[in-house]
Amino acid sequence: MKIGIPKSLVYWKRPYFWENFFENLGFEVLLSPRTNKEIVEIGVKISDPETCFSCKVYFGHLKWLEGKCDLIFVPRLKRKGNSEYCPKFFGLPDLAKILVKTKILTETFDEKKERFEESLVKLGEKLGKNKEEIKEAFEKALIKEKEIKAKQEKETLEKINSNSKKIILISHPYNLYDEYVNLRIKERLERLGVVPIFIEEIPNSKSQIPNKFQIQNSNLPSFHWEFAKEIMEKIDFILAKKIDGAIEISSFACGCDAVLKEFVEKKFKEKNIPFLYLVIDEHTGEAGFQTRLEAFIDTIS
Amino acid sequence: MKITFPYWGNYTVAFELLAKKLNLEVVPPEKTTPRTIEKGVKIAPEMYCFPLKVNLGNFLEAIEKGADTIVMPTALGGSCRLRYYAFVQDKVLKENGKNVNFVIFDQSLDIFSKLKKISGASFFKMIEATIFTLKALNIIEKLEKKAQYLRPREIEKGDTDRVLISAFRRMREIEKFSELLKFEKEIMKELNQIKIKRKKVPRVGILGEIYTVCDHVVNFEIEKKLGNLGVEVHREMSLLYHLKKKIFFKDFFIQRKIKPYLGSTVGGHGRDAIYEMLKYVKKGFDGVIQLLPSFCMPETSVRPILEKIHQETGIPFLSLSLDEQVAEAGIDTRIEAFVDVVKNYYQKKQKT
Amino acid sequence: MKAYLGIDVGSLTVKFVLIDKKGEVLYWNYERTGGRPIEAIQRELKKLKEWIENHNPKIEISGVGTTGSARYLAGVIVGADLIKNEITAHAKGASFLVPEVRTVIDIGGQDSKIIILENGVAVDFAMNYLCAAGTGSFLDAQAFRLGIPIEKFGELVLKSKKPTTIASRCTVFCESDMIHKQQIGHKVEDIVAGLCEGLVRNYLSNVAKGKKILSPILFVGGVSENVGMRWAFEKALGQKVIVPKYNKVMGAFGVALLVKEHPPQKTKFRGFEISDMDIKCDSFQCKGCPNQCEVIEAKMNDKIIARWGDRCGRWSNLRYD
Repeated sequence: MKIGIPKSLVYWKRPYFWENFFENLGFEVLLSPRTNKEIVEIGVKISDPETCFSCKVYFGHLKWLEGKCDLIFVPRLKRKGNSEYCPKFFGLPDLAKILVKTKILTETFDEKKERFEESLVKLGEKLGKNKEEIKEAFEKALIKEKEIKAKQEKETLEKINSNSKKIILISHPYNLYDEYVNLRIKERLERLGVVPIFIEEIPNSKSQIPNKFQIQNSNLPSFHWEFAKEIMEKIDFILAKKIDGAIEISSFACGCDAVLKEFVEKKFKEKNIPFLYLVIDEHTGEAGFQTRLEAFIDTIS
Repeated sequence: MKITFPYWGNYTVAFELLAKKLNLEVVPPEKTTPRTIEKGVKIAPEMYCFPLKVNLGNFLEAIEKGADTIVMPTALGGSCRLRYYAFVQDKVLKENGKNVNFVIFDQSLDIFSKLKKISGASFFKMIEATIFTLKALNIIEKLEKKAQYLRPREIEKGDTDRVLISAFRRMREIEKFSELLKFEKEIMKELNQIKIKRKKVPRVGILGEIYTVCDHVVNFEIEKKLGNLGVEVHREMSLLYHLKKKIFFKDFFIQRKIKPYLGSTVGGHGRDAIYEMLKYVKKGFDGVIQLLPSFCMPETSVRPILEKIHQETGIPFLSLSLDEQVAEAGIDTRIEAFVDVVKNYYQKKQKT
Repeated sequence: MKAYLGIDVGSLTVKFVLIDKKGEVLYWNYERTGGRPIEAIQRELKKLKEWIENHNPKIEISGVGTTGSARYLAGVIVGADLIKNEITAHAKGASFLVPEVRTVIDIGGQDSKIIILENGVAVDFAMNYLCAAGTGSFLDAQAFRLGIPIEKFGELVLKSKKPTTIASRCTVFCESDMIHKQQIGHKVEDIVAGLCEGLVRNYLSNVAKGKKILSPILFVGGVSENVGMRWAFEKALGQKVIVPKYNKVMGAFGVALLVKEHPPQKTKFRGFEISDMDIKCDSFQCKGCPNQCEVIEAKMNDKIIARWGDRCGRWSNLRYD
C-alpha cells in the first residue's frame, strides 16, 4: 500500500516525521515533489479565490498526488498543548475529500483532549497495525526528528553567536522551507552577504530566554495560536542577542498573519531594528522581490 | 468617562439602552456610512478583516464627539480574528494619536466585574439591565423577522420599512421595562395594520458571518432589497440565537448533523453555515445567500462545502464577499439576477 | 407595426436592438459611449429614428426595456417599461437563439460573467469581482500598449505556434510580465496568444470556478468579437464555443425579448423627441439622516424626471411626472 503525503503546509510543521513514521510501519510513502509552477497553477485553479496562498499550494500538492497512491494523508491538526493551530487546518481533510478522488487518510490531533501518541495509535489502527508496532514506529521517527532538529538548532545558535550580519526570517515553516513559494529568499540573502536565520530553527525552550525578556508587555494579547506564541517567544530570545534586521514573510490572504504582523513589527521597531514585510503569492515577481531585498540590505549596512 | 462601542445594525439601539440603564455616559456610534468606512480603512492594517476596519471608523467618529472609552467584545465565537480586534484597534488608535481606554470582554462572566468597575452599578442593577437589554434585543429581532415576512407582501412598497425606521428611533428613548413592553405591543399593532396580500412567495435563506448578516449597512440592506423584489427572507443567525447556542451547547448537536461534510469546527460560525444551508434545503427553500467579509477565515473555509451542497441539491446559491472595495451597483446586479434564478427555481418546483 | 426596443448601456458601450413581435431583429447597433452615456443614448435614438423613417415608417415602439450597469439611468431617460439586470437579459437572448444552450460566457467592457442555463432559464451564474483583468477594457489597454489595433488581435493569435505564458490575474502583474517577455525576445504573436490564454485561464479559475461548463457554450459580449479569445476558450475547454448572431448586443436583444413577452398596455417610452432635449444628471448629498446618501437626479429640460440612490426612498419614491 502506498501512502501519499503532500509536501506542503501541515507537512512542514513536522518535516521528515510523517514519512518516517509510515515507512517504519512498513508502508511505501510517496511525497509530492517540491512545489513547482504546475502545482501552484493547479492549486490556484481549484481553490476558493479568497483562501490563503498557502492553502492553495497545498491543494495543488493534493491534486498532484491524486491517482498516484492508494491513500493521501491529510491530518487534522487542532491543538498543540493548549494552543490552537491555524483554523484553516481544521477543515483540511473535509476540503481534500471534495477536491480529490483518491481516498483520504486522516486523524484528528487535539492534544488538549488526547495525547499525540494516542491519536497516532488510532491512525495506525486504521491501517491495520497493532499498538506495539505503532509505538515502535513512532519512537523511531521521533528519534530521527530530534536528531535533525538538534543539528539545526546547534547550527542556528552558532549563526546567532557569530559576528556576521544577521537577518531573522519570521514566517510559518511552510513559507520558510518551501523555496518555490518564498522565491529562494535564503539563497538570495546569502548572496547579498548576510546570514539568514529561520525563526523556526531557534530552540524553543523557555529556559533559553532570559527572564526579563519574557512576554510581560500588557499591550500584547496572549495568543491562542501555537505558532504565534512560539514566534513571539523566539523574537524575545533573538532580541536579547544581536540581530541586524528582520524580515517577515506572509502568504497572501493569511488571516493569522494579519494579526501577528502588527505585534511582530512593533517588537522590532521598538528596538530600532530594520523590519521588512513581504507578501507572497502566485504573482510575486522575481524582479520586484530582489529589488526590495537589495534595498533592505542597503538600509542595514 | 464617556463610553462608545461599534455600530451593529439595529442592535445598536439595545446596546445604547444598556449603557444608559447602567447610568454610563455614552456616545452612541453614528450609523455607519461610506465615509465612516473610509476613515476606518485609512488607519486599519490592510490585511485585516473588514469588520475591524468598520469598527475603527465608528470609534473615530465617536472619539470626535468626546468618547474616551471603548467597549469591545473579543472571543465570542470560535477561533477567529475577532479575538484580537481590541488589541489591534487599541494599537492602531494609539499610533494615530487617539488615547482611549478599551474595556474588553469575552464570553466569561467577568463582564460583570468589568461593568461594575466602570459603572459602579450594583449586582441587582446589572441583572435588571441585562434583562432589560435581552428584552430589547428580543423585540429588535422580532421586528426584523416580521419585516422579512411583510416586505414581499405589502401592497404599498416601503410601508414596512417606514414603520421600522420610526420604531427604532422611538425605541432609543425608552427607559423602563414596562415602556418596552408597551412599545412592543404598539409597533406590532402598527405592523399588523400594513396592508398586505397574503400569498406564497419564494423563500431565500441568508447565512454567513454574524456581523455582516445582521448589519444592514455593510450588507447593503440585502434583506430589504430581496423583500422588495418579492422574496421572503429567513435568517437563522442572530445575536440571541448565538447566545442561546452557547448556553445550550448547541454546537455539539450541529456538529453531529454536519458530520458528512465537515468533521470539526473551523472557527467562527463556519459550521453553522453548513448546518443552516442543510436546514434551508430540507425545508424546501428556493435559494441560499452567504454573506461574509472578504477573506473571512471560517466562511471562506466552508464555502467550497456550501458550493458542493449547491451542486448536489440544485438549490440556487450566491456568495457575496463584502469589503470597502465592493460597489453597491455590482451587489445590486447580482441580487437582482439571483432573484430571477430563484424565481425560475420556485416556478419549476410549483409545476412539479 | 409593433416593435420592441432593447437598450443595453454598459461601462464602455451602448447597444440598441429593435425586434418585431416574432422576435426577429429589425435593427441593431453597437457604439462606444465615450464616457458620456446620456449623450450616447440620445445620439443612438436619433439614428434609430432616422432608420425607421427610411426603412419602415409604420414601426411603432410598443415597449422599451433597458439593461446593463447603467440600466436605471437609461430607463429613466427613455422611459422604460422594464429595467432588467444584464444577467437575466443575456440568458434570455442566448436561449432564444439557441434554445438548448447550457452555458453563456459574457465578457464585456468591465464585467465578465458566466450563466448556467437549464431548459432555457438561468439556474446559476457568477460575475467577476476581484478585478477587471480579462475584460474588454483590459484587452484594449494591452493592445494599445503592444501597438496592435484590437481588430487585428485575433488574426495574430491564430499565427502563433508557441504561446508565451503570461501571468494574468491583475492588470499590473500582467503588464509587467508582458514587458519582461518582450524584453527577452518573445514574438508578438506568441505574447498575444499567451495573453488570451492567460485571460481565459483567469476567467475559468475566478469567474467560472466550480461551475459545470456544458455544451452548447455561447460566447457573447464585446470581447467575443476577438477570435483569439474564442480560440483560447476552445483550447482550454476542449469543447466547441459558439459565437452566435448578435453576440455584441445580446443583452439588448434579451431585454427587448423580455419586454415583448410581457408587453405593457401602454408604453412609458418618452418618444424620440428626447434626443433633442437637454438632459442632465447631477447628484447631491441628502442631509436627512447620518446615511448622507448620494442622490442622483436626472433633469430633462430643467424639469426633474427622477431621483435615485437614496436608501430610505425619501427621494426615489416621490412622483415626478
